[in-house]
Amino acid sequence: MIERMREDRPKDGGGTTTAVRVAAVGDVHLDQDVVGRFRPALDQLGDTADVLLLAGDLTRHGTVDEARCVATEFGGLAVPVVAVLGNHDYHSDEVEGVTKILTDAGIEVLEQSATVLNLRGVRVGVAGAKGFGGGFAGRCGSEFGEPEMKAFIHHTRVMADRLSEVLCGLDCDLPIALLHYAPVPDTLVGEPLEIYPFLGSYLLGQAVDAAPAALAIHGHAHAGTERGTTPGGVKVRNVAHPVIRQAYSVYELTV
Amino acid sequence: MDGNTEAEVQRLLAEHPQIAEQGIRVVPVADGVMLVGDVESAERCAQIESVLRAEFPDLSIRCDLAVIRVHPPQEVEKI
Repeated sequence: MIERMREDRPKDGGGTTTAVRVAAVGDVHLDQDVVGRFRPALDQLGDTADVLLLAGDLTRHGTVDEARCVATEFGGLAVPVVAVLGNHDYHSDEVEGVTKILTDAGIEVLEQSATVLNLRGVRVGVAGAKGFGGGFAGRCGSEFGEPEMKAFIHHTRVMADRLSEVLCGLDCDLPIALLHYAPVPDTLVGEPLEIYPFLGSYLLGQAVDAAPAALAIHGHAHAGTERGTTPGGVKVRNVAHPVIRQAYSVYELTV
Repeated sequence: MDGNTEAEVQRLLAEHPQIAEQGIRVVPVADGVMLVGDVESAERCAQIESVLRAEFPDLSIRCDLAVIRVHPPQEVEKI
């Protein structure tokens, strides 16, 4: 259900439930030419959300210079910021430097790892991984044939297995999966069918369902669709900036 | 324009060190291509057009590229 943004979020009637608001965006592809564009909206985050999740592809080419732009734009916000990196952020083989710059700016970068935040008295766990491709049920790749093909699917399987482990291992009230690649095909609708195997994998969806997560966030599919669901019933949201067409989307989860 | 040229344009958009765009559609039109999609700044629209004109001087290139809005959301979705 979508409602107009309101500031008041008291504990409801009996005071037994609490609403936590999660802001999210991915695929912002920052460089010098974008610095300052998101900031006016980000400066309002403290009034509208409790945490900001960044779903990868934070830079254009994955350079440390571009990471400094991300740090400038998304650092020092009124809410905690948790990120995963995307394929663009790996392009220049400067992942270590990119991660350090973001971390130094107070942005927690996850990769097959998790964090637990205390937000409004709720322990919100975020398990993050970039993910990878491979395709979806009935149209997926296999660990078979040439070494390159086996390595492709193996990479996704290992990453999905580790995501499942960290998600299931979370000690929290509200587990959230944060990915760059898509865990379901639903949120790819609008993309050419031929490139689905490069946009995500059902193995990631299995990992999301294993815990299960309360919500799964991803990006990567610029021409996709915002809303989807895993086979296990977990809501999935594609927050790629070209999909949501605003600085970030806000989702309210109640525990 | 044949399908190979369309593929070359698509690859250049992703692989050119000044561009790195994977989300732009290359739509064949009668005398060339139309680039359709969204980017993060007006500078990138101009840059993409400039690089492609230099790399494909004999191809008619038209752009329908928009800069993605960055306004704060007015709504919240209850999950």
